[in-house]
Amino acid sequence: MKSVDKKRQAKLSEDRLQWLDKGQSFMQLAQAAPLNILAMGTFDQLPVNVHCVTKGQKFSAVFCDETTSLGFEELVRLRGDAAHDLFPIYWFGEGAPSYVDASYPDSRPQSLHEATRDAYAKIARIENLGHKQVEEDRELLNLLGYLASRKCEAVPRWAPNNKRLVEYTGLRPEFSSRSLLMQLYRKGLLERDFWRKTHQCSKCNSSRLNVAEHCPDCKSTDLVEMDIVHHFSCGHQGPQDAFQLSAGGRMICPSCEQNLDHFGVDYDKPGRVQVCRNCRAVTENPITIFECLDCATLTLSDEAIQRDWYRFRLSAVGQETAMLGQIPVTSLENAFGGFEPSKDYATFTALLDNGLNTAQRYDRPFSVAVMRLASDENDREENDRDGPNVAFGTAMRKTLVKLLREILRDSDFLYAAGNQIVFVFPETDAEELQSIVDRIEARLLTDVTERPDYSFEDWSGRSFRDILQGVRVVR
Amino acid sequence: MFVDGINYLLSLSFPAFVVMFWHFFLLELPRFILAGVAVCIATVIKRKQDAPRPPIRKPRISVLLPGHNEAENLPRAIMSMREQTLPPDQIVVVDDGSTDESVAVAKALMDDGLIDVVRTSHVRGGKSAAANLGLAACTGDIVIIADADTTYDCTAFEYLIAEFDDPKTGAVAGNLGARNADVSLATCWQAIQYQISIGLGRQVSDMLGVLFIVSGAFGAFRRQALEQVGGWSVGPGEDAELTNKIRRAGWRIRFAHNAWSLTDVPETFSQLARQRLRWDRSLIRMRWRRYRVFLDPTDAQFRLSNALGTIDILFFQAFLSLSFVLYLIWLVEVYGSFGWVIAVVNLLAYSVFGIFGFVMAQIACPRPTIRRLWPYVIGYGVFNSLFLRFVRLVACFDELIFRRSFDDNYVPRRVRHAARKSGQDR
Repeated sequence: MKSVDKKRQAKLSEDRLQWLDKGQSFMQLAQAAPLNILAMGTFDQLPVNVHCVTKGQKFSAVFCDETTSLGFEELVRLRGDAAHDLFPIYWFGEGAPSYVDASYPDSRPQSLHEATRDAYAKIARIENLGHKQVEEDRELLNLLGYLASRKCEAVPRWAPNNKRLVEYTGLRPEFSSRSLLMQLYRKGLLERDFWRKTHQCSKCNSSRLNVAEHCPDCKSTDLVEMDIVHHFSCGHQGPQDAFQLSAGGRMICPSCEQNLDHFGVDYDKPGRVQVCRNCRAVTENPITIFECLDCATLTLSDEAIQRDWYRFRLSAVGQETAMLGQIPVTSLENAFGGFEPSKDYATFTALLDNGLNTAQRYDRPFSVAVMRLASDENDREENDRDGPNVAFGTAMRKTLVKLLREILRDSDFLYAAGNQIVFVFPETDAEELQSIVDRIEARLLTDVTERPDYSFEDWSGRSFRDILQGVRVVR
Repeated sequence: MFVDGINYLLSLSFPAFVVMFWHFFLLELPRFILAGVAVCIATVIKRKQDAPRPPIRKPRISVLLPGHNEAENLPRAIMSMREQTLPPDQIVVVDDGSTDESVAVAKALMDDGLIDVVRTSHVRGGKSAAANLGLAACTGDIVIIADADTTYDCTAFEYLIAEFDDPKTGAVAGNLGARNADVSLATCWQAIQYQISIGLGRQVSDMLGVLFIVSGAFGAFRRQALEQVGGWSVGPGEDAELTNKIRRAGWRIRFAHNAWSLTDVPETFSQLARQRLRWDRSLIRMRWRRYRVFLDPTDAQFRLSNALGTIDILFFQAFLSLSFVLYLIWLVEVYGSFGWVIAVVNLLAYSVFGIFGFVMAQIACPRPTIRRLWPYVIGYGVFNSLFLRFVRLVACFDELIFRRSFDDNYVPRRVRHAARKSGQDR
C-alpha cells in the first residue's frame, strides 16, 4: 500500500516538473521560494530569488566560477551541508569539468538566471526522488537518482589519463564507478549496450598498454616481416635477408652463390616469416604482448584480463527504484548462486529422494530444516513491524552464505528459492540439527549488526512428498 | 651412291660448288653470318657494361596485362613483376571476358596490393580490345605490355626501361626465351630457335635499325607513342601492326637483349605447327597487305630503313621458304637423282649453319640454361630449315589465297567479321 501511495505522489510531482520545465518565466521564478546557493568564487549580482550561503550552511545548489577547484574529496565534503547528495553544480567561466550540470562562459545576469531556473527544475526532481532507507545502498541510490534527476545516461569515453583508460565523464566523480553501474545492472535497474573492451596489465591492472608483436625467443619487438626465398637449383630456402644482393640488385644464394634471376624458374617465395633483428630467430607466429606503460610489465595477450565497458541507461525498474528510494533485495537464488551446497531444483529433489531412501533402509538419522527470511517490510508479520528486527537485506544474505560455507559439511545440501532455504542434513539427528541451527543463529548475531528477521522450522519427520509440497508453495 | 656423290662434291672447284649450292651461299649465308659476326664483335666490345645502367630520369612505369582465362598463370606473372629491381608503379590487369576464375584471382591479388587496377569486359573482345581498355587506365609514361604466361628476369624491366633514355625511342622489345625448354624435343629446338632468331636476330635488326616487331608478350611503349597511333588494332598480329604504326609515326624501335622474359612454348610439333601457322599468316597480313606502303617511295612518310626492314622480313621469312622449294625443284631438274644428294648435303650445311648461329647467339646473348641444350643443336638446322619453313610456306599461301587469319579464333568471330568488312585489309 505504501509503495502505491509513493508512486502516485511521484506521478504528481512529475507532472508539476514538466510544467516547470516547459514554461517557467522570470516572474514565476521570482514568486518561487528562494533557493539556497553555495557560491564558490565571486558573484556580483545573484538573481533576486537566490539566497547566497557560505560554506557550512545548508545549501541546495552550487555556483562555481573558473577559480574554483572541485575535486572528488571536495564534492564528498560538500555533501555534509547539502540538502541532498545530488545537489546540482553550475559553472561560470572557462574550464568547466565535464560533470557539472551546466556551464556558462561568463557570470552575466542572463547566465545566472538560466542557471537558477535549471536549478529549480533539478532540485524539484531531486526532491521527488525517494529517500534512502538503508545506508549501505546510499551510493547505489545516489547513482540511480543522478541518472533519473539529470535524465542522462552513463556514457563511457576514452580517458588516457586514467589507468583504466575509460571514464564515465558525464557522471560526477563520486558516482563515476564501473562497479556501482555493474551492480545496478545486475539488479536489473540499468540497461546496457556494449561499448569497448579493454585489457589489463597482469600486475598493476592498468589498461594503458602498448600492443606489439614480440620475438618468442628474446621478447624483442625488433621484428621485420620478410619473404621466404626458395632457390630451386640448390634447394636452399631461407628468409630473404640471408640472400645478398649483387650490384644490380639481384639476389645471390648464400648456399651456392648463384644469381637468382627469374621468379618461378630460379626461385619462388613460398611464404612470409618474421625475423627478429635482435636474436636472428625466425618465427611464423610472433607472440602478441601487452607492455604496461605504468609498470613496464609484459602480459601475454591471451592471458590479459579483459574488461567490457558498457553504456548504461535507467531501466523502467531502475526509474521506479530511484523514485522509491529502495534497492530491491538480491533474491536468494542469486545470493546462493555459485555456492556449492546450493542445488537446483532437479538435483535437490534427486538428492533428497536418494538421501531419504538410504536413511530409511539403513535406519540412519536424517534431518531437514527450513529457514524463512523476511525479505522486505511486506514479508514481515504485522505485529513485528515495529519490533527491533529488520528485513534480511542483501548484505546479510552475503554474510549468511559466508558463514554457511564454514558451518555446512560436504554431505549437506540446500535449496534456496523465494524467501526460504531448505537445508538437508544427512546422518544428522535432531540434537545435532539443533546445534547446527544454534551455531547459525549465534554467528548471525555476531556477524550482523542489526538483528535480522528470520525463522527456522524443523521438517525432519516429513515425507518426500510433503517436503516438496512445502518447497513448491514458495516456488 | 651417296658416298660417290660426296666424293664428287669434294672434287668440285669452289665456284662450281657455289653454283651448285647457290641458294645457300647467295641467299642465306651472307646476311645472317655477316650480321651475326658484327653483332658478336660489338657485343664483346660492349661487354663491360653488363649491369644495367640506371635510367637518367626514372619514368613512371605502368604494366598492362590483358588476359583471357589466365587464372592459373596470373599470380606467377604478377609476382615476377613485383620482384623487379625496377618495380613498376602500376599494374593494370584487363580480363577479356574470362570464363574461369580470372576475375576473382585478379581481385584477390588487388586486395593483397599486388595489382593496382582491374578492368573487366564481360564478353570476350580479343587481346587488342582488352589492351586498349587497359591503356586508358595506365598512368605511366612507359607502358609495358605483358602476357600472363610470361615471367621476367628480376632485371628485365630495368634493362628495358634504360632504352627509353633516348627520347626518340618509341618502343622497346624485350628478349623472349622458352621456359619449358627441357620438356620435349620440340620445346628444346624452339628454345634454340628463340635464342637465335630473337636473341641474336633482333639484335641484328636493332643494329641495322630495321626492328619491326615488339612482341605482345613483353615490350615497352612510350605511352605518348601508343596514344599517338591509337593503340592496338584487331589481331592476330596486332603486335607487329602496332610496331609498324609506331615506326611510321617516326619513332625508333629498340631491342633490349638483356631484358629476358620466359614463356611456355608449345610442347608438341603439331601444336607448334598450329601456332606458327597463325603467326606466319599474320606475317603476310601485316607486312604485305597492310604495310606494303613502307615499300612505296612516293609515300610521304617513306623511309629507307622501313622499306629495307620490310623487304628483309618478307625476303627472309616468306621468300626464302618459297625459294628453297624452287631450289629443290631446280636440283632435281638439273641433277636428276643426284639432286637428292645435294639436298642432303644442303641439310648438313644447315646443321652447321645452325651450330654457327647457336654459337653466335651464345656470344651475343648468353643464357646458361640454353647453352646446356648444345647436344640438340645438330638437328636444329634441319628442324628450322625444313619444318618451320614448310609451315611458313603453307601459311603464306593459305593467307594470300584464303585470308585464313580472319578465321582465327584468336579474335572473336564478330570482331574479325567486322574487321574484314571494314576493308582495312586490302
